[in-house]
Amino acid sequence: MAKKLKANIFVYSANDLISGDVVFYSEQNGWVRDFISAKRIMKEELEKFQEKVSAELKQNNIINPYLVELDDDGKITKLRERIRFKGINIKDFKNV
Amino acid sequence: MIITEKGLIKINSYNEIVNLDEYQKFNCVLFTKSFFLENITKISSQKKNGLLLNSDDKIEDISQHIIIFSLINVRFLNFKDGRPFSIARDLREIFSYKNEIRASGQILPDQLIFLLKCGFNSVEIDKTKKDTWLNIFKTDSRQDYQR
Amino acid sequence: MYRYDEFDSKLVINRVKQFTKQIKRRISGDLTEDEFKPLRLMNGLYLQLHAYMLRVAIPYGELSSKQLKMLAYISKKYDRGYGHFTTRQNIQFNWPKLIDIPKILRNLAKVEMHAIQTSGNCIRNVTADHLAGLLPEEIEDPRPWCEIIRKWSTFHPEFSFLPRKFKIAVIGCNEDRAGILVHDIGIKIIKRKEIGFQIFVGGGQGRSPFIAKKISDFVSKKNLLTYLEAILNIYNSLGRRDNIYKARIKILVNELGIEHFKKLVEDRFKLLKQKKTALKGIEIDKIKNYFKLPSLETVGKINPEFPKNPNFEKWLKFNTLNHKVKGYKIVLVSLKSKNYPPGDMDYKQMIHLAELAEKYSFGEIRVTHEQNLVIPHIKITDLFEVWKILDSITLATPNIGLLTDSICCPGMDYCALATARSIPIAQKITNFFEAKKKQDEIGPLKIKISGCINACGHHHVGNIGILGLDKNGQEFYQITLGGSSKENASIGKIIGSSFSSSEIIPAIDKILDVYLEKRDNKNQTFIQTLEQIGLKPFQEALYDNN
Repeated sequence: MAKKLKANIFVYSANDLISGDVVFYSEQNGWVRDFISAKRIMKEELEKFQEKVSAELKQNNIINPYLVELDDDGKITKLRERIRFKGINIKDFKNV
Repeated sequence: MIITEKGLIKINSYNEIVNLDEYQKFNCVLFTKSFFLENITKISSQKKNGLLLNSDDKIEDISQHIIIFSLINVRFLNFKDGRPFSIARDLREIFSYKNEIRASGQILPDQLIFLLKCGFNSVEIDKTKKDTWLNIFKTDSRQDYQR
Repeated sequence: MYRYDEFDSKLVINRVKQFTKQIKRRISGDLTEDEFKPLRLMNGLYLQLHAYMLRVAIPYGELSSKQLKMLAYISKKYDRGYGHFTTRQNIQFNWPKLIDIPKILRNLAKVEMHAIQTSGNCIRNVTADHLAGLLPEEIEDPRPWCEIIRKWSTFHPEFSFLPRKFKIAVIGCNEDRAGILVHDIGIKIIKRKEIGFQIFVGGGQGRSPFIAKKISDFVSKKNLLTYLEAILNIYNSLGRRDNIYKARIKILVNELGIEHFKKLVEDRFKLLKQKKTALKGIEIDKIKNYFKLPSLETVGKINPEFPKNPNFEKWLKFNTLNHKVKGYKIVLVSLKSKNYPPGDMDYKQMIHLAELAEKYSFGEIRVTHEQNLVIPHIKITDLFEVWKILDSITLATPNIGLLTDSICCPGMDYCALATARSIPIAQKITNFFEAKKKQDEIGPLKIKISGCINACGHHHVGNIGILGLDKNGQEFYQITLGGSSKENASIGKIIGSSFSSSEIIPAIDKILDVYLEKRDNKNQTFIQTLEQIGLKPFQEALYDNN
């Protein structure tokens, strides 16, 4: 992670290798699509989880894992990550 | 271990040497461009002389000597660095080099066909990936538009 | 249109098989992501903000009804029902799954399409003037030359791992509709004693924009590929690989100076000329045969009486052009309608448009670099009927070349690299100025919007350019004025500090007010006015404190 991390709380996010879907790291179930189950990682635990994620990268079938910053209320701080979490927020053509 | 342009797996017979003592010792030697330029008067045409180039080596300044090399080995620093493809092509097309050109270093099996087309005759490979290389040799298409 | 022969088909099918195997190796863990990435990129597969994105080539912008129907099928079956046309005559699908990619590629291959070299550090899809072969003033049709370059550059063994991506565009008219001066290589067909090519090199946008410089005033037809080979060979050997932001050929040309770079290329060209076989006239003619006009009948009535309809009249004025064959018009289909992101098209529109082109335009469609489509041969007597159909599928927005016809990248709504959103800005501009009816008064004007410094929305060459930035977590937009990608290509100048997303529309409005007030007459373009009065009046209007 080259970028400076400012927050105190984080979640790990990535994309599923096969579907490309946005996934989050949960402690019980590995990588899941559901943000609510994502493990909230405290600043002090970062190193431990970074090691764990990179060690398991091969068998977990995910790509591009990185840390998403949360504010102290547990909300995503960056607009980019909010858009990514919500999915597309402009007109979706599903119902055209 | 190398794979040849005919799809054969062979043992590399060249010994990588770093000084003149070692040079004298072996009959089939591989040395860098700077070794060659420093010891140019001592290079024996009786031996099998292999020249080791890196992706970023230029060949213009040794082009008049290339006839002495039985092998030019171009080492990929990184598979994404495509300069060795141009080096091999230049050796063949501009400098009319006729002996073996070998690729080594960090290369993907998926680059094999491109390598052969640019004039490489062999590739040094990782033993554990032998089957992947052989499979790609057999199945990857050689069809192209270039003449 | 170009049709694949057996050789082309086999080549594409072999590639699909090869990539299918590579995907299997990736899923099995035999290939790491680091190793797989350049392979998937060479097959047009990216990982974007939300999901994978597949970019499919539409070589030199030519598309058949059959192909468009297949794109519709793919977007419905494997995506979310729509696709996005890009500035380089490609279409992007935003939601494919890795596991479906082989199926998508096999379907594309059925209609002679592929995603080969639409990404990665190789020679990308060759683009052309979207009006190629349609205008009387054209020196020669650029499409056969694009096809010749496409073949030469596909799976080029030497040039598939270049320092960075490489883009080539070709035009055959004096007017430049393909932006050749912002390409790595721009090729212009010219007539001296014989017809040949002027070659420009080192143009590009991104974080360090450059206008291409002329490297050769004349290259003969038989030597075109040898000359391109010489440029690429020098670039592959000397282009920087230490810094991704300095790896494009524009940086090499600029660091060496065009004269030095030219000398290296000319020396190499002389060597290669002795070794390589030149292009043969018979091969060129064979390719040219594919690009003949369909047999257009001469139409008796050239000025038919149309029903009175102001919307139709407006569309006729802005969205149609004269065809070189009397009795026909070229119809431009705007993909910049109110509720759609610029360049997006849903599968139903694709199907209807494909059917329309089948019925009225010999099944031919073109894709433009400004993210619109062209139906090339419409009989004048069919125009009203064609308009009615287009209007019924929201494809008759009468704004071609006007300010709401902006180029716009996907921005942070889709793109992993973006620093701000760009689609909502385009939509705000459309809503605001359509309501004010101001755009008709203003006339031709190019607004181009990028969501980051990589400049996929071409903001550097917009008459008004908008660049999205991230300022402490907020979206801000920087404005540049005076850019152009035409014959008079120039890079826009930054007008001053940037604007928040709520300030940006009023700022554009003020700029347009200054233009309307200061222009000598209706025909004086924005660029001409800017040249005459300079940036200052615009700055004064925007930043009253200065």
